[in-house]
Amino acid sequence: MRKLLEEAVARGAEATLVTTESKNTSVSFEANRLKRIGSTESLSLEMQVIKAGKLGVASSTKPGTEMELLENALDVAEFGSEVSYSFPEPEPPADPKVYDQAVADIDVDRMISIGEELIQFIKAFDPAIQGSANVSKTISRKSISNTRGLDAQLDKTVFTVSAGFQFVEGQNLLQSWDWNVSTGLDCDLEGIKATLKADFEIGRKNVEVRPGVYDVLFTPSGFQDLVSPILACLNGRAVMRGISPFKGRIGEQIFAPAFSLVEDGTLDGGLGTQLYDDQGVVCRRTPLIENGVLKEYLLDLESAYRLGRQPIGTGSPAGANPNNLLVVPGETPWEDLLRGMKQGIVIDHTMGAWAGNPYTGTVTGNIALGYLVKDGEKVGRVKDCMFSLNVFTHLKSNLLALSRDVKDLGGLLLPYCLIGGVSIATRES
Amino acid sequence: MDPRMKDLMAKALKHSTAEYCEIRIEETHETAIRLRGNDIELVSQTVSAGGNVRALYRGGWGFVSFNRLDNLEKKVEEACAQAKILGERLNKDIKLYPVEPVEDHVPGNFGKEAFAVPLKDKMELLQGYNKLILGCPEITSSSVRYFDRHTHWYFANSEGTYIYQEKMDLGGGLTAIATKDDLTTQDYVNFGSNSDYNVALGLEDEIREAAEAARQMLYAPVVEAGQYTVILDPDMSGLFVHEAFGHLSEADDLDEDERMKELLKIGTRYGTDDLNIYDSGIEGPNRGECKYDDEGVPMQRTYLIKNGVIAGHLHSRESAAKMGEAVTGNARALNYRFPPIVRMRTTCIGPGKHTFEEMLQGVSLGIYVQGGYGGQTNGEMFTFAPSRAYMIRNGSIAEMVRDVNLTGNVFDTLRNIDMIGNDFVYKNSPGGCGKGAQGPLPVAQGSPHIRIQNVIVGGEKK
Repeated sequence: MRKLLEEAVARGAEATLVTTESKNTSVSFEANRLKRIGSTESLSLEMQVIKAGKLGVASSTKPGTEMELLENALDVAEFGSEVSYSFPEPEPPADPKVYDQAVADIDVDRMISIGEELIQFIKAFDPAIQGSANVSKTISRKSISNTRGLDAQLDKTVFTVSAGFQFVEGQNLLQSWDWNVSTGLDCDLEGIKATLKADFEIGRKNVEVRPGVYDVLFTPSGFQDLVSPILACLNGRAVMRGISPFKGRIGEQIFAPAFSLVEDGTLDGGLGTQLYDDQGVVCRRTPLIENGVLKEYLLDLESAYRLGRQPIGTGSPAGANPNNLLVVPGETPWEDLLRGMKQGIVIDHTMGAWAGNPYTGTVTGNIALGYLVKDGEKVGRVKDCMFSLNVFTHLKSNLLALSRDVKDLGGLLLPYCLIGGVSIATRES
Repeated sequence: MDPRMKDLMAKALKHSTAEYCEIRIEETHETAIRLRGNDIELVSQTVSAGGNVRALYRGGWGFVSFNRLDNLEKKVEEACAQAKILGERLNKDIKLYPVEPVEDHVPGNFGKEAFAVPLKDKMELLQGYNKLILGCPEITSSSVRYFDRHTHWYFANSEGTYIYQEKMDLGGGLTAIATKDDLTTQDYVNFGSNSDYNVALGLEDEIREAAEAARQMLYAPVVEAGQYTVILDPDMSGLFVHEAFGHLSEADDLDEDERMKELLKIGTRYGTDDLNIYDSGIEGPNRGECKYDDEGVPMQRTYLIKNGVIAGHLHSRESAAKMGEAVTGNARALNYRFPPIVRMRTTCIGPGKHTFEEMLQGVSLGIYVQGGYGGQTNGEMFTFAPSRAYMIRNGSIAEMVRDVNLTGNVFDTLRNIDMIGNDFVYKNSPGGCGKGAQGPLPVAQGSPHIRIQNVIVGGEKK
């Protein structure tokens, strides 16, 4: 690969080459039975070149075509974006722990037995239930090198266990699922079972909910819909173009003091952890929002340059991408937040909440799996209704609490979030 | 099929020890261009090449995907070994729906080939659009996206089928972004095709209209939450039928669930006599359509609802055999990294008899929605978000409203369609359908305007 970079220099270009190789093995259960064993070997090469101040990007999954890759990148650079940066000099990276030999060593028989344990557990709920599960492991190696002398690689393992069910009663379809993803084998099977069991027991009973304004406890899964527009607005490219409402507001109190958001590409066990971002900038930990105050944007080299800020290791040729994001948890167990609700709604899974315009902050979605809460207890499932709020105003003025419990949704680590004043629209009988 | 490729695949298939084995090999060349504001954000060229082997033994599937085509026979052996591990545990007599073996060579039947257009010409076209957007009143930024793909697809199975297909896919979105104070709004023009670059040309009038809509949206109020009569334009109706009924008709989610099968039993009424819903791979030319699906089965038109009554389901060879229904050519895979699963192609609501003016009559308070921005379903409920929305007051289109997202119960909503328009059109957008980990898969929709009673609209309640 060094030879390829030397060729790029000889052609008057700077270059960065990112190579990812991975092997995934998975076992899948559908309709209560083992259905498929799969394995995927994949290779991807991405070449970025800067020639005459213009960026060209080419990628390939075809082994042995490295020189063609360079040619393609140089070809498109003629029409590529004018960039203000050069690829960076290497800086010493952190030493994150993201490889677990136990994941690499686990065999298919053991993976099948984990899936079978979950399927047997689900089948015991009811003879008509349809259980599904997936157990997978991935071993990957990501390498990055550039014409400034950067040459690094990181091995990572990922172990994922997911399970869910569908249960049909008349025209009532109840679906629930839960999952655990980690760079190690530390899978919380009992947690998955508890979630599915609780959803089956309470979710079969539908209850009416009146249109109005409610306190809502978002589970980590539901909470991610509220975090998404914040990330869109934190993106340095959106700020650079003036379409983000966060433009020019560094140092300003934009959310409640209880809300803090951190980007951390160095996190031990982090699904998104890497040594360098895809532009060769060393990864680090960066508070984005601290006690409600805007501290930093998600930056790639171009947006960092144009906004006059230092890059934070979240760059890619097309813009900024977070590595691992953490909403700093609160101090209360989520069960206590639930018990403290006189009347409200728990929102676990949503549908269509991603479809809005992120820059307005409005999030509106269907409650795919949610529960009415009375006197601290879930009393039944709410269906056929929409929730709506504005994350900019609700996380500033209506944030009631964040739980101390955090779930890793895959590089996005979120607590439960209790918010007041959420609008609920539903059928009018 | 190229004789060398056929020979390679045939030799490898001889190593199969499974009841059924197939090999799929693909090579796709993609060009992608993204402009934002005054900047070229990305110009890239991608070569995606690889293959997979899928094997079935006593009810268990083995699946191996790879980038390196050497040692193909070892990949066959590996997939068969996986299938045997499962099959020996399951010991189920699962058959595939019988399909006659075929040898076919299907070169692309393209209009203007996107992959033959020089990059320079594509850049000039898109930069021209971008300049037009940025020159419109109160437009502060833009997002212009374009891609085209050219694929060589090879398929062989242990039953003697050998097929080559050449495929093209292209799409783009041209978004005008308006900003005033802290409010940012946007509207877009999009296009897509499986066969003709010309769909990307001549979009100037539509761009001006979208930029004006984005500008007007700056001054539009947020919709008030509630239950409304809603008229959907053909674009939105197509998205509705895809989300609300298309996914429910995918038989791999039904074939082992007796209660779901009962719910969607052929002959069950879910709409008025005017309601006809079908999914097709042969309407053409539309994104996602081609001669054969990813199991080598010819695509066809399949009625899901005929005259308001369930008439069929979408099938792979496995689901068709399990349910005792004919195969439909709906087994599709996102690419060589994935096994085929049951997916839609072009999903349509057939034309009705009503004019748009007739639909407006009698609506004292409703919403007219245009442009399918996105949707989602979980089987029983669905959501869809339009790109534009207007209130209907006393039978007339009134003011624009923003931040509209609608939801409904699948079964109730189909029954609540009370008018179907006579203005059927196809819609090809640059997005696609997601299912499991496989998305976005190219699909298209076709529909006239439709009117639905009692749709729930999210938002603030005043």
